Amino acid sequence: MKYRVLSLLFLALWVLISASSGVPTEKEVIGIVKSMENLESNLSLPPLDRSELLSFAKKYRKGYGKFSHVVVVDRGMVQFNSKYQSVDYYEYAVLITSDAGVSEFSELKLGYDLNRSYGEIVFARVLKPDGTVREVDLSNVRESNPVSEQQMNIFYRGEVLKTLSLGAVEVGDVVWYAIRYYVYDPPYPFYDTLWYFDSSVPVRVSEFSLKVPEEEVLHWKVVNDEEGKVEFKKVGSLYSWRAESLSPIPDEPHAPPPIHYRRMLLASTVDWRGFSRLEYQLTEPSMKTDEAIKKEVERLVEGKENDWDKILAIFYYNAQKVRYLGVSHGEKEGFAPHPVTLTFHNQYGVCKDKAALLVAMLREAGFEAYNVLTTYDDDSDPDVAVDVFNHQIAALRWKGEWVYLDATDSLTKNPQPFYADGCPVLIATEEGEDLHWTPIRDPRSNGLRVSFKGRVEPDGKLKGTITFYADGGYHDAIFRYAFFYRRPEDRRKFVEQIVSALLKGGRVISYTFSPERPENLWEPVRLTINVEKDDYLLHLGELYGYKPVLAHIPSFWTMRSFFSAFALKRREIPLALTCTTEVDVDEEVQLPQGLEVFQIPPDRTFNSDSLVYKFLYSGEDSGFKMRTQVIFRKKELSPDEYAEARSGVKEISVKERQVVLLRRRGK
Amino acid sequence: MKTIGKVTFLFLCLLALVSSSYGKVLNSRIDVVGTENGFDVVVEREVVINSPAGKEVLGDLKVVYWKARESVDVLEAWTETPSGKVVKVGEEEINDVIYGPYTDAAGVYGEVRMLVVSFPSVEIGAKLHYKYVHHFSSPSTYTVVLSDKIPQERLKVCFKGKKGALKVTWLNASPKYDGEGCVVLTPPVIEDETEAPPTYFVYPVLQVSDFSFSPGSTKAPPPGEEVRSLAKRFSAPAEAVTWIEKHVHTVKWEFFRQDFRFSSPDEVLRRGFGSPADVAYLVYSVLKCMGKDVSLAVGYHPLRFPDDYPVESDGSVWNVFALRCGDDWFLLREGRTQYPYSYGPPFKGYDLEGRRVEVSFKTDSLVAEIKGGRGKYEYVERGTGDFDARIRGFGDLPRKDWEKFLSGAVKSVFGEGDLVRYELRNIEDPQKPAELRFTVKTDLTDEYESVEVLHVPFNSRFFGELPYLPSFERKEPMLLEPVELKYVVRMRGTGRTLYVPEPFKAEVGCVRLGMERDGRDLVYYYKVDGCLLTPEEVKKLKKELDFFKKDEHFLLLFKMRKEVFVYE
Repeated sequence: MKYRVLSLLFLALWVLISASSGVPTEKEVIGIVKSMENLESNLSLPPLDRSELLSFAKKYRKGYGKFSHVVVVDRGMVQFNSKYQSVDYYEYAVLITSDAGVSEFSELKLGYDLNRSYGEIVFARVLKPDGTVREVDLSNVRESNPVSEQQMNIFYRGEVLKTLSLGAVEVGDVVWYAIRYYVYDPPYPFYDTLWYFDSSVPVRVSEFSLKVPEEEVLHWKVVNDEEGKVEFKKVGSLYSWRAESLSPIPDEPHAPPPIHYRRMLLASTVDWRGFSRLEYQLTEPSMKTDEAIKKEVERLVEGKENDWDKILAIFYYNAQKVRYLGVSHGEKEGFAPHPVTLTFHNQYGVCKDKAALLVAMLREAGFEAYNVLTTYDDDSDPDVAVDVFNHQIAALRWKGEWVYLDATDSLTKNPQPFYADGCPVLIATEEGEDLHWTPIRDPRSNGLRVSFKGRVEPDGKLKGTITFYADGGYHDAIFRYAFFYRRPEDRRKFVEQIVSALLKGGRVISYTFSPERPENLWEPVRLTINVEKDDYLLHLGELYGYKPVLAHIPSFWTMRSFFSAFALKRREIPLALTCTTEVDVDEEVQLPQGLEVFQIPPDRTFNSDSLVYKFLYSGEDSGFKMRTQVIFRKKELSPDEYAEARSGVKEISVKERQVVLLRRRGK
Repeated sequence: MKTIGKVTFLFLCLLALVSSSYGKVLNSRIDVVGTENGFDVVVEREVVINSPAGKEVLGDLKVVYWKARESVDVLEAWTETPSGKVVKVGEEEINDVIYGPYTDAAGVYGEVRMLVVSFPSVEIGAKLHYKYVHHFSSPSTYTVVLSDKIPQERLKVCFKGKKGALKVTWLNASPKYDGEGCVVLTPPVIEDETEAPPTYFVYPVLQVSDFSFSPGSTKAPPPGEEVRSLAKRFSAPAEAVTWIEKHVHTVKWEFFRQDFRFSSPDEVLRRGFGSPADVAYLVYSVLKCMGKDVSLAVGYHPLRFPDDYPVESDGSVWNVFALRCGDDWFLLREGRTQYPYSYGPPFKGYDLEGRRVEVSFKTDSLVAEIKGGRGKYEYVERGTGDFDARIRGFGDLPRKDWEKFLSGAVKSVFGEGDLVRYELRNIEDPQKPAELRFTVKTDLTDEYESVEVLHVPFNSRFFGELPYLPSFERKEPMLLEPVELKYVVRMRGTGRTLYVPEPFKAEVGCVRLGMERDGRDLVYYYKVDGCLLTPEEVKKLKKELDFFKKDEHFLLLFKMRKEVFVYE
């Protein structure tokens, strides 16, 4: 499916530092792409039979209203040459089956980066149910800014988004169009691609062909095709894959990377080791250090007691002292880092620059470090080297293991941020490396401990102290971010908001946050809040209710995203969580002499492979204790694991609303 | 003397606290210079960095401009390190990038760019100095909120050149000009509080414009034969509106045309798509050709702009269209007619004859009812305005995703329960109120040794619509838009009730809230007419809301008599 290829173009990484004077004009680019060697500039596919499209549309017009559309034909053909320039032709015909489809297909959008490629709409037409055809006037194409690229267009300075309104489209119409892309400056000296056969709607035909130069060896693989729907054919140098009558794949939130569940083709002319070597050759020329860097490294490691502290000192320097920039230098940023001496001098850079300086400084301190390509929102395959990367970090060989360090995160206590677990990494070495994955860490490494110690006074006022404690990982980072980016004068407001959510109408008497400077990553995070609330008990007729202050902590603030991920009754594809995590809560409350515990909620424990929780209460004459614990043990849950964990999550939602019932002593 | 010393010391401490935030503007100057074909705005500033966060937040200068009419040149930019070394910003550190808003209205900003100046050697204690000129070609408007999130000691604004041709408007400030046409201000720091009104309600605003906006009938081409012929096909306005909605695609990438003219309605009809303005004008034209008594007004949402905001010269705010048919006014948002038979927020603007139009629409309202049974309950929601639109919004999703969406809502908004059944009524019929009803299976009771607690479900749905009032004392007023919420809890039972919450009511500013009993129904309500609440009123409202939200209202306590407790 073309969208994937499109996004790959945008994600396509960079070749060399080639800061040019500006984005070429469309006319200049057209001149270049039309004269690329050994490529058919008007590449296309044999025409589709209109009557066949219409007869399909007639057959499927009814009964598919729950989908926005049905894909009648999704086909693509790509030809590339020995310079890995390519011409891509994609043709798409969809039957609109509901109003949702009308809004989805009223406009055709086409995005590309003029610095590397050019895109054109070959034709767009609307087939009406009565057989008439409306050709859409291509002169109505408008250019606009791409969505969601604000300050993120580091590498795509020449990005263009063309939009064409298809005019009025109705349910029952077939929208049929073709587009062509020309890639004249590929990111790396190899060709790779992905093709998605299935979709979230039914697909009648999906086919992809690749014209491969004679001298090239193509590595390819179709994944998630257990039913064997995809047929492969090779005629001469033309490789073709085709699948028919594909059922829709579930379109579920919190989905893992598509390669984990979608039927797709991966193809590449390089293997991972070759890719790793190419990346090494690309990055290594920028790694030469100078005296100033050497001196800084000496200063940083001086007095550090052990090697790990030296590594952390160098890492924290790169993460915090060297500023991360949201824009690149020059019009056409490459994937190669700028010389580390320049980054060191400027004290800023983007991910690749910061990673390279970190690697260089670690090497200077005597460690074995490398540049690494990665992505935090996608995955790849160990057998076929398809470039899915959009980020650069550093790797360190440490005690026989790979340790990963992301210098773009200035507030991560652990050099591998919490969101970087289980992600694909390609370490750039001289000999070449296979694809690896970052380790998925223990829930406790993303842990949070919360406690409340308090007392109810005779007048019903509650007074006590809430403490949050985290040492590295998910919660640690979130608290640091919350304090770091707030002006000192706004931090109290933030603390009051936390209290307001836990203790409606509660007052913050005082609070302390340590470390004093949130960016001090050598110390764990501790937020201590002294609170009070008048008339805290619930008046329930003859009884009183005490709602534990920390009752909602398991699903509070930092944990909300974990709980909202369990909305669906069942899943057909795995659930991807941000990370593993563990939250431990303790509440201890003293009662005044006139009150006693009447009844406490029953204890409850739940234990599965992916979720553990405990709600434990104990009551005494003078007060009571509540202890809760929630552990999300896995980052990715299979549908079966999801179903099991969901029953636990539901219980937590119920249990956390419980109150401790009190009564007047002697009643 | 000692006391004065103490006060001074405290004052200095306070200053130190303020200046210990991100940074501080040491010098700031804006020169507005009239030119032959428009005007220039020259901005010069010196900023000192005070914290690591300040380094990240203030380390880049970003100037957004509209390429079609504007350009920006950096005249000078450098970093002065704490040791006094001056590091100039190099050419490669000035980057002109795409400004991509992250909404699907991005196309509107097709020619909006952002100039990013990345300062080198930024560290705590460093001073960043910059001066740039922002060129505006006529007709243009420059609007700037003069306050910042960091303190500014002194801001000087001067006007030069063809001043007579420029319309200068000040908001929330009455500065005095000196003999050289300059004013000096010390704008207050932006407080950055939640639910604050837009900054231009509170902080000093300068607006410079070299034209005046007026829709004017001369800028609206008359309908031609095609529109007249189309109009003959309809007998009722609703038919015409529905037909146009179905046959003319509203695009978001063509804004109200920059010369503030409507496209020819025939042309829009012919090509099958148009901007929100053009589609609104087509609806108007067709209705007019049908002989209906209609007006089209172009305007804005007054609660989002203060009364004295100089909108007449700010084309960017003219993005709401109101249509009068007979005695009724309807809002056309983005050309979509999902509200025409409903209501919306208030509207101010001008009709095509240049007459001022002010319309007070009915407030948005939501009525939610729950009818519970043991282990499951039914929830019904219907409303007008935004609530109606929210329910109709299901129509934009493929039906296969409706259940998924609702399940998500049940979980994230209501926190508990499984969706068992759901039904959406009238979402494609604009003449009837849309309605959402669904049944949720959940466990509403917590069992104790001899008591059971029954929880009123879905209170978070209701509370989710209430304003969020953190406990800190506000310095800024708070904007409350009109809304009316009613939440009916229908519980029937014969079990011995130990506790049911007592009715109450409260009124603060334009807000009325409370709970009434209607038989055995509990009726919670919250009504706002739309206003700005003073910080004092906010404090009072918070107290009332805290009581309103107290958990005892959402626990009903019964004795353990399951066999006789029956819901209807």
